[in-house]
Amino acid sequence: MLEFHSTGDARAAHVQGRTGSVDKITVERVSHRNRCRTSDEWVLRDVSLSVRTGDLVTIMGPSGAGKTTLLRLIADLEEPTEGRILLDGRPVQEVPHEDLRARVGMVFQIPALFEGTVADNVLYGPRLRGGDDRADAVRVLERVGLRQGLLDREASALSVGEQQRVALARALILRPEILLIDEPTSALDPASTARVFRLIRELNVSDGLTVIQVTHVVDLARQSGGEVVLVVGGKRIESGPAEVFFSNPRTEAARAFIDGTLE
Amino acid sequence: MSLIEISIGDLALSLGFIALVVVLSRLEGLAMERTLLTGTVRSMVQLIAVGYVLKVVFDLERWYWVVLAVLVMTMVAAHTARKRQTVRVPHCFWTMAGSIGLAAALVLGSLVGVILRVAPWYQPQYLIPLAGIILATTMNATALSVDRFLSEIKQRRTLVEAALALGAGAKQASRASTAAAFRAGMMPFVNTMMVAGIVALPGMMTGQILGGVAPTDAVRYQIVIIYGITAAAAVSSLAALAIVRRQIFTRRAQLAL
Repeated sequence: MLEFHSTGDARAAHVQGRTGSVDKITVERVSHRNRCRTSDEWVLRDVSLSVRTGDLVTIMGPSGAGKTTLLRLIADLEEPTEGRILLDGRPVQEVPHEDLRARVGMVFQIPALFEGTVADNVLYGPRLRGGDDRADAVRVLERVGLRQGLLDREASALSVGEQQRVALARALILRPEILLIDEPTSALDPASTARVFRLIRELNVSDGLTVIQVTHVVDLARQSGGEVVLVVGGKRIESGPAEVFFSNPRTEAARAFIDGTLE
Repeated sequence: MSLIEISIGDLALSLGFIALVVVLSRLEGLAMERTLLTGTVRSMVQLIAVGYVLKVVFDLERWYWVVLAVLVMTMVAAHTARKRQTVRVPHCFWTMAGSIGLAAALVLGSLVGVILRVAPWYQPQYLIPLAGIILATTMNATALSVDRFLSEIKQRRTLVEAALALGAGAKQASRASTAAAFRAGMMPFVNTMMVAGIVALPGMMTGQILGGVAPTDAVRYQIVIIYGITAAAAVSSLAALAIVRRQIFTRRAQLAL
């Protein structure tokens, strides 16, 4: 569930039936500047966001809007220049990072599979923690719609669509509380894209997994349902339930984004 | 058997070699003359100066002068290794100086103290040339492996972060890059060992043979040296990689490059 700082009415409509639940992730007035960049530009400016357990949140915006950075900050792959990020009300910097990495899963734009077999990839996380349960690997592989026969195949021999699902399985095997997904379909054909998006939705609806995904594709955001957040130029422009946002955008930027005319 | 002395006149004669190249460059329009002349003058000035400095160190035969000379050589090696880096990391000079110094001290100590049993240990005739060979090769290996490591990490960035996101520590997440870097740094030595004595006679051996040492004795020195520099190169590269890894990953296992 998103908390709408600027739009109390939309929030009221969506808090129903879930009162009392604590925010899973809170992004609190986060601003971020890239360290290595020579320019002094802020990638994110004063962004706040609340995500509740079981939410499916889609962060949308044009390329370079700061969506990926926001996701990376939530995953604690970088620390925000200003502001903080809370997990279950606790600053992520206070959560031991080994712990945090199991609780918050991340899937990148490209599958980023390691050299070796599918099993080597899926069991990477468990092996770091002293486990090596093939039955578990089979279970998550089936969950993402892949045959268990693929387990001993070289990961690089799979199609990109299959690889991206292996990447999902690799994150899911650690039973994360939140899954962060960064443009998972940017390298996929339309059919695979639809499959991956359906799968993500299923994980959210049937398995109750909290999902924050990033996309710049308007249609994908629309089809995902759940909550959407529009980020443009490092700022949170508008947010709300997908059906409200797409049928009745309030800002000029949101209308332009939906029409595909945003610069 | 004694060494034939090279007089100043003989030295001047050797400039004929350079003159030959200058003429060739002129005739073919290769525009190499200027660079070539700079190199010629530099090498002559540097080598003559070093010759005098070493003569003083040899004549004084004091342990502190010998150690100082080796330290200066180490600093120059560290500086050169740092200059060869394409990706900048902070305190690179000290990383290089520390790694190269540690490895050289270890191997030089073993050579002088255990294998050759030089007495007194600081005899410049042994310590200075041995230090020179060890430092030069260690410098090359360390510069190569650190440079390769940083470019590998940059190239595999998403893979490294994917591993971090699954809970891997800095060392695990950068394992493949470390292996590639170490291999890149060590390959020249392994290749040298493979062809030692077949394709070319190593420099130290050549010098000893010219100096009148029997080839069978000279090869023993060369064997000891090759093994020693291999160890020095490995220790120094791994030490430098460990330091650099700590610099580019944060305590919370974030890649900050």
